[in-house]
Amino acid sequence: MLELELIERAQQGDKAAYTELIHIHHRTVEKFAFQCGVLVHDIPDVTQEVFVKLYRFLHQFQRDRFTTWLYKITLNTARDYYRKETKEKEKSHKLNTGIRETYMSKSAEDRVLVFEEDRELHKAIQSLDEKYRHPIIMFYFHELSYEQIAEVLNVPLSTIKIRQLRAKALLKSALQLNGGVRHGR
Amino acid sequence: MDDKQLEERLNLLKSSYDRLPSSLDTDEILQKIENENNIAPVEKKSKGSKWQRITVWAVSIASVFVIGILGTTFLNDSNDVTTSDQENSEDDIKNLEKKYKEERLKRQQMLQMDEVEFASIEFVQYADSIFSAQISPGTLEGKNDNIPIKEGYKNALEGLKLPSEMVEDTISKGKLNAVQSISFIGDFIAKTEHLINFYEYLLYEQGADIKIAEHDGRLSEHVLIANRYNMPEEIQNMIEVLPKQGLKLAVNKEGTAFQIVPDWAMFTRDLFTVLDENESRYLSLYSSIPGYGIVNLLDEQDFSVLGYYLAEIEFTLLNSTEDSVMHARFENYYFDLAEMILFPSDINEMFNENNVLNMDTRIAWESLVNIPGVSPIASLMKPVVISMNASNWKYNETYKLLDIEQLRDYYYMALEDALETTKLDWFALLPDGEEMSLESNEASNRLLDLYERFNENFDFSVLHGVGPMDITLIYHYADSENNHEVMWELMSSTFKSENSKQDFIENPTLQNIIRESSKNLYFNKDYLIQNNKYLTTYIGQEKGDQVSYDLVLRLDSDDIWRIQGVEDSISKGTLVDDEFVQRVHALYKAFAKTYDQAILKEATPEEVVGLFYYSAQLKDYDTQYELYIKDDTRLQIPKDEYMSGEHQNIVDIRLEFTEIKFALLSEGYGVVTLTKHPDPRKSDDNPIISFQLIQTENGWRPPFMPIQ
Repeated sequence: MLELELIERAQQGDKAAYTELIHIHHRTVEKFAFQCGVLVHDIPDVTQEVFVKLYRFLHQFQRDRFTTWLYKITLNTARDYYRKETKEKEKSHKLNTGIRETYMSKSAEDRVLVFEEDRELHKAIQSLDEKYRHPIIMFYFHELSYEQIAEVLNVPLSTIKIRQLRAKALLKSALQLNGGVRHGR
Repeated sequence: MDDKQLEERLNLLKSSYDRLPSSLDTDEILQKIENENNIAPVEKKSKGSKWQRITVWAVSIASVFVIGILGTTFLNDSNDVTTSDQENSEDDIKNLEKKYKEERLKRQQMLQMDEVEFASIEFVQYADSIFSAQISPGTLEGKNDNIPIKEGYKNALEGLKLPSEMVEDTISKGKLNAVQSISFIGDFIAKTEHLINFYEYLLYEQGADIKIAEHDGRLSEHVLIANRYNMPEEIQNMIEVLPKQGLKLAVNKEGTAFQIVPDWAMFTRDLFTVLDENESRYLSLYSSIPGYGIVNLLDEQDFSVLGYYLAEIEFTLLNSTEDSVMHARFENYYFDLAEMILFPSDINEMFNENNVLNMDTRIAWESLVNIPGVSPIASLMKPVVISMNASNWKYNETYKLLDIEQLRDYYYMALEDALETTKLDWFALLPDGEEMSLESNEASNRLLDLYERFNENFDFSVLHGVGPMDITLIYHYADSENNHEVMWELMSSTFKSENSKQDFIENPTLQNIIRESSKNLYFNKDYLIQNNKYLTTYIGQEKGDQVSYDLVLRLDSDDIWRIQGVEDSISKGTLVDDEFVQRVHALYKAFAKTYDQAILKEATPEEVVGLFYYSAQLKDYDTQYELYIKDDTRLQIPKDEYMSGEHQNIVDIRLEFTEIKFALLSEGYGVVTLTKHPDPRKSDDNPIISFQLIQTENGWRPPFMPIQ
């Protein structure tokens, strides 16, 4: 079944169609959330919230805007997750797991980014201001066009192009400052 | 590293992200969605009334309002079964239903509406939705969130409250923080807009009946109010209710339609005492730019004042909570308005046939570059205004290349505290002359506020845009408070480089800069002097019967005025005695031989004037003539005419004058005052002569008719 058809059926309340959509897109959401700074152990929560919210807004958007909305909602959910909910979560994590949690989360990130040079680049991207970070992630890791990125971030196309240039310049200088680890796999 | 290398590494990283583990549980997601759907949806009641047809022009804020009120429901949804509500019985629910009905009726009566009208108001619908979602028959079995019923009831009641009640409640609670303030403002404006929607539709529906309220061919709110008892009952009720809810009747610019606009004078005085200062600016802004957005502003205001509104919006945005409905709304207004000011739709009207910018646009643009503190629009417009000013306001390349997107970048930089303050054009900003009373309460309150804000953490952005007189007073106040740290911070960079901070703080060398006898401070633009790279000014205060401009301030490189010291800009007088005449005579001997102008290059202004009168004493009018400024742009008198004219008869300059002294009035311009010997024969004779001098590349020279 074509994705557009799935979206249309989901919009009409077809849960099976929506389940299918979740299966198609959950990896995008998970990766995008991680790239936006969500910790590995928080990704299931964030992903779940994204798809609940997406369903809430499903009837509001045109079918061909599905991808834009998916990124938009993921971005906002990832941002809000740490803004609003982490404090409570942190409290309970500290109470329940203490040091173990920190250790677990650290090793979880390391299991994803095995190579030092990947960790270095990931860290450099994370340290960028979000206005530079998000276009880089969407362009290079999700192959979104400048037009799509502009739509997700709700800023003009020319701004995205400028930010992309600056983001690359910032990344290059950050990598050079750190000694420019050579990629050696 | 080049772009290619970076992109290679990004591609490798992209493939590494595939290792991210997945733990998707679609059943859990679907269950959560299912739970949400069990909450009663926000639906408008279908009563089939005409009120259902109200056009909602404030959709955005209204939607956010719903989210605000219902947000708690969604945010708190959870699979946990509520426990607190198990204590509530069916009777409790019935009781709440009865109470809600009473509360609802109370508001309906306050608005003097019938049930159908009242139920059509958006915030009433939202309150009803909350009530039906939280406290409805079967709630105890069907409620899917953990919001206690009493909490749900409280939310519904909050939703019902009228704008006037919201104001009363807020004032009674006392001081609100920024988040609480903006939350109140967002809800208050939303409800106000719901009432405006309702009443504007009423006016539209009653169009035929109220059209008779005309004066001079225009609709008139005054005529309508005066004739209200001849109007339909709904209109009479509206006229009574509007002022109570902070609204008033108005007529559009064309005089063709009635409008309802906010009139919060009754509310704001008290509200401003409890709301956060920065957030409360939205209320003032909203009064100027209500729900229709900047279209109204463009219609109603002169183009030349639009810069003022843009600056106000910008200041509010940069100093208020970012994550709010009002912030998002005014952010849109900001960029829309900036675009309108910089790129009006008809560029032909902006520039005349000679490509010169029209005066209104010029005024608007000039006002943008002198916004104190951090200002994205000032940063954007400064190069444009400077370059256009230099090219007589003609269309030029700088304007052609102006990109509104740059404003967005500056704006985001400013939000992140990464934008520097723009330098102000002080020559344009400062008045020609100003007198400030040291006893004025208004001035003391303003300065006390500045002092306190600056004293908090020496944030110089507080003092950006503050003029030299105010800086003088802040310094003086700090002195009276023995706050030597503030005094030190207000000293110029030159002073700081020449003095030790510790010594100054232990024993400030500059105290009591304003004399006890002084009643006013004076600023005179003639004393605003651009000296090399620094702008300096002298602030005056009373000294005996005269004003002495003796407080020196300098504009430091961070665009903040600071105290440089106390010195009289007017030099000490030189006695016209033998020694002075000797110096003048030596100059005369050197100059009269060749009239080489360079000979007088180092002569003091007093010596030049002395030489002028000494030449007259010697009846050497050729030499006197040669002293006049040689500048084609100034009035010149032919030598023949000068020589044949009348000349002052001076026997001895020592007998003519007692003292001679120079005052620099502005860069390159000064006055030498000569004190005459008292002449007992002429009681009304003025004892002082003021003699003008202009600085040239060869030193100071008199223009023709220097004492006029």
